[in-house]
Amino acid sequence: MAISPTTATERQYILAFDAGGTMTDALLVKPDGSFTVGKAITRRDDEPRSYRESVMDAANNIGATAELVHAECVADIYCGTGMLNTVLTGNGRKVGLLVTRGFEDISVMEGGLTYLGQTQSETLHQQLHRHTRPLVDPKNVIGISERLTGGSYQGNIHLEPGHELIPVNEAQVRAATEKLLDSGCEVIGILFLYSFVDPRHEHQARAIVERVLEARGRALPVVCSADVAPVSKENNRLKSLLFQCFAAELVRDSLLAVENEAKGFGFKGRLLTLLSYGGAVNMEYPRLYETMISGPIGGLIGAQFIADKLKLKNVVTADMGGTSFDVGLLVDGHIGITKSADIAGHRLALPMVELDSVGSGAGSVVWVDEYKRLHVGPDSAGAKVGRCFQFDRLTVTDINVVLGYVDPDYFLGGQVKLDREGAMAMLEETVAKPLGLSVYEAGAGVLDIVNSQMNDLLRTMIAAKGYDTRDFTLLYYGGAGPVHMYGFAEGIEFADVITLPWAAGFSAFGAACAEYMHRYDRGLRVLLPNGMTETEQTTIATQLRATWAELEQEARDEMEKEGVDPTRIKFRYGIAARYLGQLESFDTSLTDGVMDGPADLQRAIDAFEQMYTKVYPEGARFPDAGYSLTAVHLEAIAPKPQPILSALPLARREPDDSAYVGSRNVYHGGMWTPFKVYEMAALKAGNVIEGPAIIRDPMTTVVIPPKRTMSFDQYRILHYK
Amino acid sequence: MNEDVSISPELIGQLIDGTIDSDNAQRLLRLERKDKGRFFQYIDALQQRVAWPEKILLRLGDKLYIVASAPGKRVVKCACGHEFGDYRQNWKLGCKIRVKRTLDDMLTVYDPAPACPEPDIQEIREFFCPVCASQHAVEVVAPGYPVVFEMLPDLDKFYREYLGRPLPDEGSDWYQDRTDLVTREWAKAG
Amino acid sequence: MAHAFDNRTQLSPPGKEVRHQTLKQMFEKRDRLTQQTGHYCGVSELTLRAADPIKYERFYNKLHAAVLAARESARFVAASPGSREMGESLWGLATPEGDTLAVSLGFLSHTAIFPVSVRYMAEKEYDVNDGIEDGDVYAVSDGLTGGVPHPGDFYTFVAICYEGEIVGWAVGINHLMENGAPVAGSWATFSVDTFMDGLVCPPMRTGRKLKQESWWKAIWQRRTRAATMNILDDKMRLAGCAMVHDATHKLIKEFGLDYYKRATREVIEESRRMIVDNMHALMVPGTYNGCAFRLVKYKGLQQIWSHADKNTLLHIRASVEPNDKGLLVDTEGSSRWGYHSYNATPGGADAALFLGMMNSFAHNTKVTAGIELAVQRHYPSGSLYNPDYEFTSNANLWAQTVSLNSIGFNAVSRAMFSRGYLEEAFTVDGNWGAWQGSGQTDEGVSYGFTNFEWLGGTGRGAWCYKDGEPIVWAAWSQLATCGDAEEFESCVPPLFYLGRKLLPGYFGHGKYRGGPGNSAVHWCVKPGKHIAVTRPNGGLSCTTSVGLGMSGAYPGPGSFMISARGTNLPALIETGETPRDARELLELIDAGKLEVENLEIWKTDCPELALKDNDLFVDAAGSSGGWGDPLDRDPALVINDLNDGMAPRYEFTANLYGIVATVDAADVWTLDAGATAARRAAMRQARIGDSQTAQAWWASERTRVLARDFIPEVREMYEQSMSFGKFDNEFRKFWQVPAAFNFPKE
Repeated sequence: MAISPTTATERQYILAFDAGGTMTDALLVKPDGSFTVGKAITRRDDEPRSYRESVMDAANNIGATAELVHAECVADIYCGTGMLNTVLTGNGRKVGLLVTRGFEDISVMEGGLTYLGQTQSETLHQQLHRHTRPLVDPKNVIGISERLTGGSYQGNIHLEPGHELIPVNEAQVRAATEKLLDSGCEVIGILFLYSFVDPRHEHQARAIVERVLEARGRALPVVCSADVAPVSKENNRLKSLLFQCFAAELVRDSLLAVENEAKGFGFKGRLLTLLSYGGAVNMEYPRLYETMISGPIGGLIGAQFIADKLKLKNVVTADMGGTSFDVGLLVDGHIGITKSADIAGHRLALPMVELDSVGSGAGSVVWVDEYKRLHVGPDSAGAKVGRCFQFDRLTVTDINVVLGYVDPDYFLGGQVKLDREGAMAMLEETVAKPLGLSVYEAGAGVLDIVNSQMNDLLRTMIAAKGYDTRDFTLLYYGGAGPVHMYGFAEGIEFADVITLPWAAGFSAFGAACAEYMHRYDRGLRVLLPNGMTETEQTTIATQLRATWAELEQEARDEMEKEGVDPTRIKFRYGIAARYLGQLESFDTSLTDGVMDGPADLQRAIDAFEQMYTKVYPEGARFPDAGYSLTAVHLEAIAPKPQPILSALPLARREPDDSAYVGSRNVYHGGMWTPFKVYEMAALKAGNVIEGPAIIRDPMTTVVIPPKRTMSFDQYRILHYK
Repeated sequence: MNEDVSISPELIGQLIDGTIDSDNAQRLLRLERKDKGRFFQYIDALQQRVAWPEKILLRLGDKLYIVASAPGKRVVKCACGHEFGDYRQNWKLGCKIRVKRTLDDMLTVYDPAPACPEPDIQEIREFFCPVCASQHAVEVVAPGYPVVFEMLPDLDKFYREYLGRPLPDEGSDWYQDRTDLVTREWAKAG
Repeated sequence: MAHAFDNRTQLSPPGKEVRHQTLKQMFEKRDRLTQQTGHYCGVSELTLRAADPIKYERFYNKLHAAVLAARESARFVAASPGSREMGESLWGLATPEGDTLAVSLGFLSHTAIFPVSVRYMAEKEYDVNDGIEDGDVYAVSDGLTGGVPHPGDFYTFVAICYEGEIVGWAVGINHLMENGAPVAGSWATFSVDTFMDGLVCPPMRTGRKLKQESWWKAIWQRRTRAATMNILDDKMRLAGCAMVHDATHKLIKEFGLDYYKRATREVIEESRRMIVDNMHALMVPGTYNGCAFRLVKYKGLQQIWSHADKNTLLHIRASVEPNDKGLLVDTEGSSRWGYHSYNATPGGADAALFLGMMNSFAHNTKVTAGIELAVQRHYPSGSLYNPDYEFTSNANLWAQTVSLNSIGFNAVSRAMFSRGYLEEAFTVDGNWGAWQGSGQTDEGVSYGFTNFEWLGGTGRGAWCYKDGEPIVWAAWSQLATCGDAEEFESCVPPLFYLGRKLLPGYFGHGKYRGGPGNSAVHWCVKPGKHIAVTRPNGGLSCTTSVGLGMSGAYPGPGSFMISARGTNLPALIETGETPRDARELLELIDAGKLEVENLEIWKTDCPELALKDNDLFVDAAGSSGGWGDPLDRDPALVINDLNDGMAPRYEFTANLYGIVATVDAADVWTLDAGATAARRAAMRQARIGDSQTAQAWWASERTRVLARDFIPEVREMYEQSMSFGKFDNEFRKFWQVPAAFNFPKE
């Protein structure tokens, strides 16, 4: 059944999942737009199970069954970390690679880039530079004699783009395929120079490979770089191709397994997942590697939703889960997107939400090395939580339990009892003793380190972009976000500091807010020198319109396959433009896709100039050089129901007595202090909680230190002062 | 807390033996300030790896050390036990020397051919221990170039001011290049 | 992006009362206080830091962030791959005297010249005579007056004034792809003096209020061959400077002028202390000596300028001596300057020398002018590094100053090895190469270009505990990036890549081998009206990039190139056997498959090579040296090299490493351990057998020295180096030559 308003009546549910390293959150949006969060432990080896458990938990909250919810579910969005995990652990498909002859070492050289992810002081200390382990065995990279031209930056001169210099050497392709099959490759990728300008050589080679496969009765995926990432720069394109070959198909299988689980509950639609730059697609989406970091983008989309609701201009998001602390930016309501994504030491040709992370989460392992230095992470207990649950090493959560921040008897609402004594003993043994500290000092010391790591990241992420924290609202979430906020927000001036009752499921909430969207980029080399004749301009305009028309058709076809009613698809148009001679192109969104003649071309150029002068001083403009269009892009959006955040009547300032649970001692600021404990569910819009206090919730714990307050606004959004 | 950082002898051994893995090497590289005790741990590890008793004062090369052979005697010593004499004289003059002057000779150590230095402009000098034949140094220099004294340490200053453990036989004339004493003798010998 | 300017008129004209110190007075004060106290500008106590460390760090973070942000945003204005993708650009903020406060990513040591340029402006009283106003834009590319390493590095200075007073400079730099010399490209090959170096600008005002004046564009259009690219790079530098200028004004408004002035002094003094500390913590006091050579081959190629019609063997000599103030680098003994393009100036030499020093001693502190205060330099007047002739060319100083950096950096490696910080110790090599040229297409479109790829990433020399890695770093940049073929190719219409890969076996051998270098093959198709390429490398492959191997290993081989003109390439295209790298090209020729009418192997600079259809231009660069005795190499590692193609010739490898191995049908090599042990023992015996005692060698060599039995280039090298007392003394003492002995001028 299709996802489209024809079926989206008020009677239906939306399900969204964020399968993080530790917990799988299920966000269930009820027909009235209100929602609830279910949680279960993530099981990498059995994702359908974590899906099942979390959705049942959510259904439970509203006294419904998973069957009922699925039967009436209109959109089911699932974000996992399987892709990234596959790359990090190196457990992907065995890839064979055909490249343009002479580029056999490209996977080892990877264009240099041995400093990705390093700070300036690290890049300066060059002994730290090293290559990332290639995703393909260099022995399985084979050169093929072929060459196409790519055109010149100087203009329409010399050989036109796509001119054949050397034909594809069929014999070499056949021999290479045989060799790769013999060496046990499970997928074959093809990367030829300038395939983003003209894919015909790659496609020709693919046809030859497929004939060999047929002859040998084998069926392997054969993937061309032009179909995965048709954009300039062979090194980045290669990484996109490798991610697709190495990880995407595997992950597709596991996502289909999750979809089957949903179908088992009676879900009639297609499971969706999120693209790294926003937008949801289903599992038929060909370039599935673009869902590389689907979880985090969910948070940003949710932030966009909240920002829109509260009329916030700039938001910095802080997501603290089990394994990492991720910071993202929303500037003028736009999600920060980078065009060359750096992931796990690889630089991809993939537009991706800009995120900065430190490897400290609630599940991060706390350890003291032989230099008697205290470390937090990067190892994580994942779903095993810590010594207090099923893990054999000390984690941040253990310390929160020991110091009283987290209630050992109310984890997951009490489903799981945590072993505080065990945690205490291990803290004593592995940290306090080696460092010669009391057990509580040691615990507080660890939290200091974790909190200041996150605090630094928040500062630098904003400062490095030349922004001022005071122009930003901090929106924090993730299961551990509210537990540590008092620490990572400490001493930074923000416009406001907010979270939501369902903070633990916020990324899932964001996923539920996502548009059903595909993005298409098509590389071009169109030059607009000054003094072009009207006819020349019209020709180009026509060419652009034609390219968009192709992309529109591609979108309709792909989305229809995915079950979307093509007539309901809306399009957003954009170009990548630059001054003639420049190397970098600048994405420019256009108001519409009308492109018939000189006037429309001029509108596009004006849009480019406007965008450009927003970023750069007048002196950086160079109109007299003429312009060049290097890509057009198209976003195709299909309608999809959204959650609703409705305003509630404001209750009085003091919470109801029923909300008060009791008091608990917490080791805070170097001493044991009694904290009042409240029940999240019982707190109302308008309530104000004064610290020292804790708001407990099955999914998280909100810590409010002495002299601070937490007030609930009309949407039950929590504001920290 | 960097001040009292100390590295396990295992890691130091792995560095010396070339068995350390890249992650551990990175951890050492990432120390914001180096562990202060490293030098003496290193010397201990080296001392365990040589067959002779003389106290190592400084390591000059993979198999080359300055040792205190007797009070007031500091000599350069090869791992094999051969002594090159007073460390103030360039130990290379105690080596056996093999020079590659022709393209054919150079082709035995550089490849492909265009990568070979230009004969007459440069020569390749190999310096061997006269006993174990270990290659302690290579110079690629112009013909007629004085043998290079690669490193003359100021041991007294190092031990007193850098390490805070002055040597017993400190003196005012330890930091001197005395290589010319050797060449003067040779000149006399004719 | 809107800007507020501090519009008050600058210093009152001469005669009237001056409201602020002149630049000259500022320099006088800075030099005096620093000299007297040994602390930067007399800042003996870090009072602001002590009073409120959080505020102090916040101040610096904002200042640093502004500079980082400037690069990350401005570099996208660029036209040249070097500036945008690679490390070939940089932005910085400096004090009124040009002392660096903060730098972006990029080729950071290029900040060394800031004070040179500003000092020149101060001495010439730019501020008094013409006035310097907020947002004034200055262009600098001259070595003598600006300290610029070579004219290819182009600098934009923007004055930051507050309440009529100069409070700092925002500076942007990048390496141009064409700078208008007689020989096209960005390294004027064969230039004899500064007049052949291309667009050389002493500090000169080219714009006001953060906007270049109209005439400036005309300069790029008329004096360079890549106007569009250069204008865009110029705009890029200015865009970044504008951001730093803007941020600095905001910062001063937030913290107040007095805080700004004091804090910036403290920042530099703080990092100076930390650097001196680091040197003390990592080095062993003493004297470290190093040397390197380069060959300038002009004979027969410079007949128009007869005084330059000669070859010159360049001698790069330096010693490093740690001391209480930091360490001293003494270049005495290096060659004299000459009528060639390889001269440096003190500013340029600093830019090279500081690379390794910052890498080693500044990575854990704030990157500022502190390094210049801790590293003392001696560049004798009249030498390659401090010419006593004001018109020398420095177009290609890098080809030799990178080895000056290697000598200094290797001294640090030796020290860390001796102190036990083995994890840091590796063989530093500076073996770069890049090529350049110009042409005109059939359509009449002219273009100039430089291909930086092998400047962007080189192999790293062996560590003292493991092999070096391929294309992993570049001594002169924090950002090892060799860019993309798809972009470089698009800059040069008629040239197409047939290969861009590692060059097997191309490294220095040792117990641990260096990281392999790289090689590319460029194929000419439809040359148009004209295309010619050149490549300046200082005869690098006539020498090695450094003169001394580490601990018994061989230093990295030099970079070279090959022109194969008039080929039967179409025939090889038929069989799909086109050459992919330098080695393969030569093998195909030996095998008689590739026919070449005019094959030239260029170990030294080549004159313009005009290319026609199916001509090939091949380069090799980026190799690096080994560490330790090859006979101590673990045989298993040698077998790996044989099996993964890093050791393409068994005979060569087996003879060098003393191993014996057998190969099976699937080309897999297996070690014969017994035979290997025996062979190594025999080779050690042979070493003793076919070597001389040092004394015997010395005696025979001495006879040759006394007879001055060397080719003229070598004789002249000694004549020049011995014109400096230190090397003269060393040479005489070592060879025990009579007082009358010398190398007469020829």
